[in-house]
Amino acid sequence: MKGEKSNKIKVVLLSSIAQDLGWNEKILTIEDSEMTVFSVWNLINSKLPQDNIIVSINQEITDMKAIINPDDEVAFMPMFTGG
Amino acid sequence: MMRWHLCQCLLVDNSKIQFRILKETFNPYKEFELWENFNKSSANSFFIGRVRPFDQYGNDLRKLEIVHYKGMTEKYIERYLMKISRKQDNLSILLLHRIGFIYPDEPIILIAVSANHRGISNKYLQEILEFTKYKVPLWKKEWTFKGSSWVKKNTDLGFEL
Repeated sequence: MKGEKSNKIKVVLLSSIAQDLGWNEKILTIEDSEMTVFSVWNLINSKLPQDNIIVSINQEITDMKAIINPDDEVAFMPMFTGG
Repeated sequence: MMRWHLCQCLLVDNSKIQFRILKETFNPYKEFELWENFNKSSANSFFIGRVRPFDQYGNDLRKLEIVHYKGMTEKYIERYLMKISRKQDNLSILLLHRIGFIYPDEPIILIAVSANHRGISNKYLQEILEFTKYKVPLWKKEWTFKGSSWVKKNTDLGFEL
């Protein structure tokens, strides 16, 4: 609804992280207005180490301390291996 | 033979940039020839990267899989190519990169750069290649006859800089 405040975020996992956690995309409801990328990572993951993970908000690389806003797309991905 | 058409041709000052993420295989020589007809200069550098026949552990490779982050991958490539075009006048760049399943010896990447001097075309060719390895959201998975594994890190340059 127009004017209604959203509290949803989209979480995207890529490559080995998607394979290890068993999913690619999820819509999550955020309760906390100061939620960081790190807190989303802790929410979705209980087994993978956070070493060498690249994170992005709305397809721009950021860090684990960044604050997430409603409707953001947050992604977790391993180091790049293209080329 | 079915062929695709370059979707982007960006003009940045006096430079031209073309790139595309491809789901199907391509003939790098034909693509280079077509591109060079309109972009040739006095120095033209050209790189083809192909799938090795073995994986990171030395096993026979059945196929390579490359995945990307749709939207972000294209955005990071475009932004980077525009940045170097602003640094260097009269540069033409073609970058093609495969995603999906790719078989041994098939091309993964084609980079072509034309400029007024060999030093400039070779320099940017190397720089763009390393950029695609370390700064673009692309990941490789190797499929052997026994199973599959994600590539942990990029191969070495092959010599000391």
